[in-house]
Amino acid sequence: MAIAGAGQLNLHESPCWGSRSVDCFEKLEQISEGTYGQVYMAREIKTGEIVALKKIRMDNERGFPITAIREIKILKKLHHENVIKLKESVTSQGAKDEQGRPGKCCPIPINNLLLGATKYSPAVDMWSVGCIFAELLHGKLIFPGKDEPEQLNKIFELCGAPDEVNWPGVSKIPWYNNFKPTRPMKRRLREALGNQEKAPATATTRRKGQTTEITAFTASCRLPPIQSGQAHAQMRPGPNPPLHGSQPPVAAGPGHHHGKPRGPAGGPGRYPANGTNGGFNHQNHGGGYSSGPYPPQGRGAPYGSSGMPGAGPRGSGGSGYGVGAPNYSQDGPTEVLVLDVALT
Amino acid sequence: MSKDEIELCSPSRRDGIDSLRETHLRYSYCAFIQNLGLQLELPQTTIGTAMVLCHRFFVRRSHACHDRFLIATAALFLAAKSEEMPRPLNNVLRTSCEILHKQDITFLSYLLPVDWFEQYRERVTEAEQMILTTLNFELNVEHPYDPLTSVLNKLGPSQTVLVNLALNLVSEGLRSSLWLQFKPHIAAGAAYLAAKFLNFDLDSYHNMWREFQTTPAILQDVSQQLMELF
Repeated sequence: MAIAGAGQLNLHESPCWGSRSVDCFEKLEQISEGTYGQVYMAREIKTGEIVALKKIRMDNERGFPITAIREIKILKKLHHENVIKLKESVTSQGAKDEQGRPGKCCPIPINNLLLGATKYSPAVDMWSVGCIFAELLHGKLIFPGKDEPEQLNKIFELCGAPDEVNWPGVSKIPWYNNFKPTRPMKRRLREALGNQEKAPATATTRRKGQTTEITAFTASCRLPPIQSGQAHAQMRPGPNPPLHGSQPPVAAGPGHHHGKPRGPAGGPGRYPANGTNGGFNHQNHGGGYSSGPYPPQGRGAPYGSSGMPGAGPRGSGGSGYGVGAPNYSQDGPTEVLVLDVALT
Repeated sequence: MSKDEIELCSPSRRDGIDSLRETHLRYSYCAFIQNLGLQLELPQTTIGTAMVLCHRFFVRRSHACHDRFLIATAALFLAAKSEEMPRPLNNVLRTSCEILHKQDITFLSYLLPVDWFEQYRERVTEAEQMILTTLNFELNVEHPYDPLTSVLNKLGPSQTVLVNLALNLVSEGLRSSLWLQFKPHIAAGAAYLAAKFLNFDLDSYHNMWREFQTTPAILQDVSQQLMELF
């Protein structure tokens, strides 16, 4: 037989190799839905095993989504009892599903995007990281809203309400007027998370400092993201004074100020390119991270969201949130590790 | 997989494509990927990854019914995403067409049906999907470049000629099925050949071969297969 002609692909060849078809599973109910696609509870027909099935949408312009490639690659590398396992990847005609073990739910970053901001930036990711830290300290979801308005409200209750003082430019964000709080709310994140004594004391207080800073409202008030293999100054072991509730919560110090703005640290293609070199000032905030000290805490009221409530399949009851994060080494958390936690 | 397994069990064999012919098909899609990757300004490791993805694909599916250049285009597009160097699909398609037809894209548009570009895009995304399912989403490729340089750099900075020759041998080796058979041992084979070629006595560095974690038999096999490429 001759070799294949131009453009030839045998799409009907029996798949004795590679991934199975999604038809091996029976969808029971939809668990959640987001920008990434839908998650279903499903049963493997042959074994009866209950699994979570995540559907990934194909993009006509970009092919198989790079975010899904990242997720699959990372999940394949992670082996931890608190991290959902990628059992296998299955395919359906024109779409691809990914299947994981049930029992754990994933906090899904929503952040500023709730207010209708359309630009995705590293600051948005840092918000999510902050939420995850807070949940580790808290032992449960910190913003368990059933829908977006409720979730925003939970955020405002805990982190204070955003206004032009703590978030210059917020009133210009598309849906701000629809969702802005009716009464003034004060930031009480520190008080809310301050009673957690489950984690070792120093780790707790230090992480608390981290939490409040990365959940700061505006991009320029949050800590810059770090690249894999690096650790934030206050995450390293050392003579960092533990932060106490009464103390001015800004962990000011040279460790905060990176020599230069970290541009698209997440890699190319992840964040939209913009004209500035930092990429963090998507709230029309000049400067970026390296331009000055962090503003006093009262100013940087945080804002955000976190886990999808009840995203775990029915009956599984897995809480997944390890209090104190025993696998979280104090001296070297990286973005990759954060993902580890994010997926528990 | 051993070389014999690859040569005997390749699905192309059932379709009457012998092992020599398949070797040449392998060379041709690798040359194409190299060319496409350079034009898209992709790093050599990403280009190498795309070649390995193609090799993995064609030990599972036959050349008789899958256009290798379509698979190669999709493999490079996929490798670029997987290694965080994504290139816009339309750029990949345009460059790929221009290489294949040796014509400028504007000229091609006069020759081909109106919707040819959309059709081509659809084919390539289908090919991408097929690669993913055939490889069971296994996109990680271990390259021998790092072990090679880290071990050889222990010889000191004076040995750059040796290191460069060995690195080039590794890149040449991408054309072969070595990547399906061995992991970092290719580095050892390349180092061995390079040393031999330069009359460099690597044996005097006792721990050198141990650092590559290989055996004399594997070393012999890899360097033999590398030699066959020339």
